[in-house]
Amino acid sequence: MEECGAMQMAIDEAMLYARIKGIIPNTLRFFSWKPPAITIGYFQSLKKEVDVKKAKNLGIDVIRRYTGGGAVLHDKELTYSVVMDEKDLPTDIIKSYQKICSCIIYGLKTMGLNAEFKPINDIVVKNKKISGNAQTRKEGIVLQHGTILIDVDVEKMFSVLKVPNEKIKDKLIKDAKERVTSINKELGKNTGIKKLEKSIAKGFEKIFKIKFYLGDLTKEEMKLARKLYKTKYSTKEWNYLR
Amino acid sequence: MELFKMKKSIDYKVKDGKLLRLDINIEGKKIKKIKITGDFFVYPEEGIEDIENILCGKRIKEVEEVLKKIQKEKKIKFIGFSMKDLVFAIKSSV
Repeated sequence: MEECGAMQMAIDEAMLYARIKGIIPNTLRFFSWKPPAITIGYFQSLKKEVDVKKAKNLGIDVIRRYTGGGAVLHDKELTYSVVMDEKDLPTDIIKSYQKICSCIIYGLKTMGLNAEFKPINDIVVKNKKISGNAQTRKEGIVLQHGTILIDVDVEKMFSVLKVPNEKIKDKLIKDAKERVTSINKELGKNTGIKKLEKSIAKGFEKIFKIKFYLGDLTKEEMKLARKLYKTKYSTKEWNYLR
Repeated sequence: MELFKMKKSIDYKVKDGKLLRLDINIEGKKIKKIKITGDFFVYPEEGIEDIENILCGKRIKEVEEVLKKIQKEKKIKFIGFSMKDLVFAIKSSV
């Protein structure tokens, strides 16, 4: 689904509320970022984490997420979001991350990648991060979203994300190159996004013993998403909240 | 007598956890203002604002007790750091 980053985050929250109201069943959604965007975790300080001016100059949107976790540059990746009843997941939060991540891992494995869960909220291949995940819980419903890196540009990432200590930036870039990987890098070829979506959806079906049916966002979700976009995710009040 | 005033920003990386970034204003022995940011998770999310608000006006030595009370009261869960980490980070900032 092609929408700007602020709208994508608005849709995720709209899905959460639609699930709370019982308008939609447990739902998995895939999307990409056009233009690229940086999202920061709910608890992060935008000023401390992002060079907003630089990002704007590069045509990169900047949005605060509803979920915690770290700052991410979303560029060449597949993003998923899932809303589901808390009762379908372990009560322990880290175990619930693991359960949802195991669906992604299943999908990655079918594509030939030896992926593993790395607590708290990461998926790694050969101990290098390939996916970051974040979740929130409201009124008995869980929203978890996460990235699956198809390609990664560490230099671009560091050109827009601030580091606590500028003096060691070069070392941090070097370290990140060793700590982060992508599907294309691991497989040594370009990966089709549809194939990846199918593999991951299959992972959810296997792990949760369910069967998906394809659908579009409901009118209610779109209406709420547009409202959240306008009143929250596109506003300075929200993005500079902390 | 002039009151001791201090404004400080510190980063505290939790072992096997996340980064706690504190901006803290101290006046005398009390916290005037505190902002706790970072790549951690708090459930429910609003719990972080409750914590920041309740710490305002409190003495550093009261921090642990106040935090434990509000955590229990509001059923706040921390992921990526512990209560001990937060108390340590606040105390080490003064």
